[in-house]
Amino acid sequence: MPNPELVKDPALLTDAVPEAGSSKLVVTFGRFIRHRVGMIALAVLILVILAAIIMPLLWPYGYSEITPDLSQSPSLEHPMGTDTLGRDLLALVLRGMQQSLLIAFSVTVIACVIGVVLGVVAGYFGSFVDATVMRAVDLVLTLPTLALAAFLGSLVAGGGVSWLGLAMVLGSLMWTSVARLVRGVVLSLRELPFVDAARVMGAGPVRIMFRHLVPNVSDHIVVAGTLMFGVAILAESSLSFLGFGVQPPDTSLGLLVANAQSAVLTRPWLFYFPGLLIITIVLSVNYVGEGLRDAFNPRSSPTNPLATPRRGRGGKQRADRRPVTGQRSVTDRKPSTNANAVDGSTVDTDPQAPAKALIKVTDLSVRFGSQAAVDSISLEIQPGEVVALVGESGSGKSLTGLSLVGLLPNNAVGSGSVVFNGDELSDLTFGQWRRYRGRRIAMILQDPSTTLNPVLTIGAQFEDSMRLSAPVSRTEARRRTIELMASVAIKDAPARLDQYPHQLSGGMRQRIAIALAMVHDPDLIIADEPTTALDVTVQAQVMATLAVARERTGAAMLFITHDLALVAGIADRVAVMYQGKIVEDQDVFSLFEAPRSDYTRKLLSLAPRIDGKAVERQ
Amino acid sequence: MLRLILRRLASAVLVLLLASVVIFTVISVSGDPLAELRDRQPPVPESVIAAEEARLGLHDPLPMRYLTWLSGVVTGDFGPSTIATRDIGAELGTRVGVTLRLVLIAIIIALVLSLLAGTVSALYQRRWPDLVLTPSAFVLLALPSFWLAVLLKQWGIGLNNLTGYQLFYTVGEASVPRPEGFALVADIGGHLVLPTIVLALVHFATWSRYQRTAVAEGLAGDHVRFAVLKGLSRRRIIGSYVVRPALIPIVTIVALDLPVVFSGAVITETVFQWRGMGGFLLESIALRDTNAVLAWLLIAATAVVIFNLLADILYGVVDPRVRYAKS
Amino acid sequence: MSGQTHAEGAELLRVTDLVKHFRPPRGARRDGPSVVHALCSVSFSVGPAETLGIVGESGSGKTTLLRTILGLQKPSSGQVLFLGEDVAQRRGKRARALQREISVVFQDPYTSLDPRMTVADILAEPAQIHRLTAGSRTAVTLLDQVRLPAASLRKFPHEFSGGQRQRIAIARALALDPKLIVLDEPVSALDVSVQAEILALLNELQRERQVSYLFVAHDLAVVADISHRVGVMYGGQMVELGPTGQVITEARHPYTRELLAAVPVPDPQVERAKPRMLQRQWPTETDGLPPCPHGDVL
Repeated sequence: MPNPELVKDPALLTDAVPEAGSSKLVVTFGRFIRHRVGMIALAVLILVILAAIIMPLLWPYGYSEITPDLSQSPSLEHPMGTDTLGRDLLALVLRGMQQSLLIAFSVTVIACVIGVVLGVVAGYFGSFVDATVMRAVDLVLTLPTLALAAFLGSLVAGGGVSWLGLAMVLGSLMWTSVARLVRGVVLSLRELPFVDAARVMGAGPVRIMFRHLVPNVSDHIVVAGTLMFGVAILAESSLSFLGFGVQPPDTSLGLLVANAQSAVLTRPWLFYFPGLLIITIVLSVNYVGEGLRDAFNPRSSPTNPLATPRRGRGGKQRADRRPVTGQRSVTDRKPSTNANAVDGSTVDTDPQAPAKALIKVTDLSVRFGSQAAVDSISLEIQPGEVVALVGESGSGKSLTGLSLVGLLPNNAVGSGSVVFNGDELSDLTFGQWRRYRGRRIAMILQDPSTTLNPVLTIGAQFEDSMRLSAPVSRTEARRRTIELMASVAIKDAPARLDQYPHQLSGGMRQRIAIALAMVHDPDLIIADEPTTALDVTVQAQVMATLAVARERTGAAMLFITHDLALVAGIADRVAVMYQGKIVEDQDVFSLFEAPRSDYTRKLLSLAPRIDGKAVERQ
Repeated sequence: MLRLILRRLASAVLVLLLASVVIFTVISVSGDPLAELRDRQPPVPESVIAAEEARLGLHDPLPMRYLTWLSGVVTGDFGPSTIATRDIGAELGTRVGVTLRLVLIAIIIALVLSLLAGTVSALYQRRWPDLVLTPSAFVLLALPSFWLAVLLKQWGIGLNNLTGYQLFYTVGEASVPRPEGFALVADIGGHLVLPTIVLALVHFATWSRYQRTAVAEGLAGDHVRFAVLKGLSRRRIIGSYVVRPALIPIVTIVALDLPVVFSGAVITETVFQWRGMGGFLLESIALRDTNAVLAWLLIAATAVVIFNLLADILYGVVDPRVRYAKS
Repeated sequence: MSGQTHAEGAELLRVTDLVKHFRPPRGARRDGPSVVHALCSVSFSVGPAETLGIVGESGSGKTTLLRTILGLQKPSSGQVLFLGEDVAQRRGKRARALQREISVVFQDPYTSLDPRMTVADILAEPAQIHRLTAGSRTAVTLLDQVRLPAASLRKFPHEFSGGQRQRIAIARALALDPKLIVLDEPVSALDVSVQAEILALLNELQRERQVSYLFVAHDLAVVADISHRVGVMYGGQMVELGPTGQVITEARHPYTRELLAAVPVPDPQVERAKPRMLQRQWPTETDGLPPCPHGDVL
C-alpha cells in the first residue's frame, strides 16, 4: 500500500514546479515586446497604416487633383514629385496605400474565416467530411490564383464594383493555406487527451470545436493571418498591375507601378516610391509574423550537433577547472577480467587507484545561464566496469552522459574535466571528437524509433560505421553486420540488412542500435535510458542484449536510468543523482542493502514492487 | 512502385476532371462572352447576337455545354473563340513551349539555389552566412515580382544604352526574325536571362526558407545526434542524415507552389512582352474569350497535376516509408 | 479491504464478450489480415469501491478496451453494462446521466488539461456541460480533496508540475461525484516519487468516497500496488483475471509468467539469478499475434 504520509505532504519530494507565470497570452505578449525586429516592423507597419488613414485628410492635394506642375521630381512642394498629368505622387501613393491595405485586410479576413471554419470542421469530423474539404483544397490548389482572379476581377471591375468585390474574389481563392494549416493542427489536437476528456464529460462537437480546439489553434491562425496579409498585398498589387484590379481613376500601389513602367530611367520617382512602399509594407508584415511566431512558440537555441560545443570561458569557470592532464595511463585497453566483471565481485572500485580509471570526471558542471543543472560532480569508471547513474527527471543524469561525448545542448555551458584513458576530452573540436565517438566511446539513446536514419537501410547504417576506420568491401561489411546482429539475437539477420527502420519493432531497433555501438569494440558504452520507451518484456530483452554486448566487447558501461530496480541486474556500482549532485556512489550490493543517503532510501521505499506486500493485502 | 505510380495516375486524372468541371462552371456562369457585343453603340442587330450565341453554343443547358466542350477538348478542339478567325488550340500550342521553358528553367534554378542556401543557412544558424541569407530571403519575399521585372528590364535597357551593346535582351522570347541553328539556341538563351532571374529569385526566397526550417529540424533530430555519436564525418552526416530526409518537405512545397509559379510567369511574360501563355491569357480576358480562358486554365491545371504526380513519385524515391506504405 | 467476489446485483460495471475489430487501411491490407482484432471477447466486472487493474503491453488492446468503455468507440459486438444497463443503448437523458457516473483520468498530465483554460474553468466544465449547479462540488472543495491550495484556481495548467497537473485531472474526474473513475496509465509519465504520491491519493479518495477504479497500465508493479483484482491482457484477450495476490503468486497463463519475470526487482541477488531473456516467448504485435478465436464474427 502506498505510503499515506505522502498524501499529507505532496511537496515532500522532487516534483519540479515550473516558475510561476501568468496567462499564456501575457507571456506571449511579453516575448513579442522583447523581439526587437518584430517590434521595429510593427512600429513601421503602424506608422504606414496611420499615414494612410490620417495624412490624406491633411494633405493639401487630392489624389485626382491635377496641378500645373507636370512630371516634377521630388521637391518640398511635392515630396514624391508629380506624374505626367501633374498629379501629386504623395497624394496618389496615400490613396493607393488606402486601397491596398483595405483590400488586403478584407482578403485576409475572408480567407481566414473560410479557412478556419473548413479546417476545424474537416479536422474534427475527419473521414468523409475531411476528404471532401481536402478534395476542394486540392482543386483550388491546381488553379493558378492570379489567372482566375484576373478573369473574375475583370468582370468585377467592369461592373463597377469596387474593392469589396476584388477582396471577395481573392479571399475565396486564398483560404486553402489556412484551411490546410488549421486542419493539420486540429487533427493532431483531436488526438490529445484533453479533447477525449471533454468528450467523456459529455461535451458536444460545437463545444469541443469552439471552446477547446479553436482557442488552441489561435496562435497558428494569428501567424498565418499576418503572413497572408502580406501575400494579399502582393496579390492585389499584381492584379492591379495587370489591369484587372483597382481601376482608374481610382488607384492602388500596383497600378502606380504599372503606369511608371517606362519611366524607370526618365522619371524614376514615379517607379521607386510606390514600389518601395509595397516592399516596406510586406517586409514589415512578414517580420511581424515572424516575431509573432517566435513569441507564440519560442525557438530553443539552434541545435547543431555538428558544431563544437561551448565551454565555460574566462575567469571564474576557467579557474574552477582543474584539468587532469598528463596522466596518460598505460592500462591495457581490454582487461581480461571481463567475465568476472559481470558478477561484479572482482572489479576494483577502489578510489585509491585513479590511474586505472578508464574515464575520470572531475568537477563537471553544466549550466543553463546561472542555473547549474549539473553541479560539480566527480565520477570514475574503471575499465570493464558497469556504473549506473540513477536519478529522476531534472537530476542532471542525461546531461552528465552527454557531457562525456561532448554533445551538450547549445545553450548549455559545461565546465570541469573529463579524462578518458588519460586524454582530456574537454574543448575538443568536432574532428578531434571523431577519434573517440563510435570508436572508443559508443552511445545508445533513449528512443529507438528516432535514433536510426529513416531513409537508409539497416545495412547502409552499419556500413557507415564500419567505413570509419578502414575501407571495407560491401560483402565484408554485410558479413560482419550479420554476425553482429546475430550476436544480439536478431532473427533473420540477412533479411534485416535491406530493411528500413520503420519496418522493425521498437525492441528490434534498440537492439540494432546496440549492435551499432559494438561495431568498433569500444572501451565505453553509454546507454541513456535505453529501455524507457519500451514495454517491460522488451525491456528485459534489451537489458539482456546490453549484457551480451558488454561481454563481447569488454567495454565499460555507463547506464543512465530513472529506474533503480532496473540497475540491480546489470550494474557493478551505482551513483544516485539528485538535483545536479551525486548523493550516493557505492557498489550495487551495498546500495540495495544499506543505502547511505536519505534520498536513495526514499527512492527504494517508494518504488512499487511486486512482492509480499501485494499478496498480504488480499 | 509501379502500382503506386498507376494509382497516382488514376487519381490525377480524377482531379483533373473535377478541376475541369469547376473551371467550366465558374467561367461559364460568371462571364458573358458577348457582353462587349451587346454593349456596342450603336446597338448590334439582335440577329447578329443570336447568330453569335448559336455559333458559341450558348443556348444549350450548362451540363450539355460542358459535355460538348469536354468531348472537343479530348480531341484537341478547345471550342470556338469569340474572334471567329482565332484557333485557340493552334495558338496555345505554339505558346505553351515558350512558357514551359521559362517555368522549368526557373524552377530548377530556384530549387538548386534554395537547397544550397537553405542548407547553409541552417548549418550556420545565427552566424554570418545565415545572418546574410535570411534577411536577403525576407527582402526577396517582399519584392513584388512585377516591380522586380520592370526594374531589371529597365536597368537592362539602361545598360544597353550606356554601353552601346545589346548586353541584355529585354523584349520578347526570341529575336525577330528568328536566327537559324545554333544562333537560335543562343538567342533564346539570351532572351531567357532576365525573366528567369525574376521568376527564380521570387521562388528562391520562399523555398530557401522552407529548406532552412527542414534542415534545422533535421539537425535537432535524434538520428543526427546518433550519427554524430557513431563518429561519422560531417560531410556524410550532412548528406545522408540531414539533407536527404529534408528533401521530402521541399518536394511538397515546390509541387504546391506550381500554380504560383505559373501566375508569376504571366506577370514576367507581360513585362518582357513575350508571346507566351501569359500574353495569351491577358488578351483572352480582355476579349472576353471565355473558351480561350478555359483552355488556358485547363492547360495550367494539367501542368500542375503532372508536376504533382512527379512529386509523388519523387517521394517514393526519396522516402522509403512512402514507398513501402503505399505500394 | 478484501478481494471481493461481489454478488451479481451489486456489480457496477460488467463487460461481456466485448469484441472490437478494425479494418486496416486499404494499402496495408494486401499483405496483412483483412481484419485486425483489437479486442477479442473480453469479459469482466468491477464492483463498488473496488479497484480492478488491467495490465497489458502496447498492442494488447487495453487502450481499445478503455475507449470502448468510455463510449469513445463503439464495440463490434458484446456489451458494456453499467448498473445493469447497456451503455450503448442509452439515449438522451439516460446517456447524460451515465456521463456523470463515469469519468476518466488520462496518462499524460501535460496534454489532458486544455492549456488555454484556467484551473477554475477546467474544474467547472463538467458541471457546465451538464448544466448543473446544485450537487456539483465547488472548485475549491475539489482542489482541497486533491490537496492543492485554493490559490491554484486562477492559474493555467502550464504553471503546475506533472504531479500537480495529475491532481487537477483527478479533481476534474471527481467533479460530478462519479461511481467509477477510469484511470488510463495515470502515473506512468511521472517520476517514481510522484507516482507514489498519486497512488496514495487515489487510495485515500477511494476510502473516503467509495468510488471504484478501473486502473489500466503497462506496469505490473504499479497495478499490483493499487488493485484488488488484476486482469492481464494480451493480443486483445484477457488471459488472466483474479485477485492480485493470486495472479502474482500463481499465474496460470504463460504470458503472465513471462511478464512477471520481466519486471525488474530491486535486489541484485534476485536479478542476477534470473535467466537471460534474449528472445521473447510471446510475440509482439509487429511479429504477429495469435489469431483471435472469435475472428469469424464478421
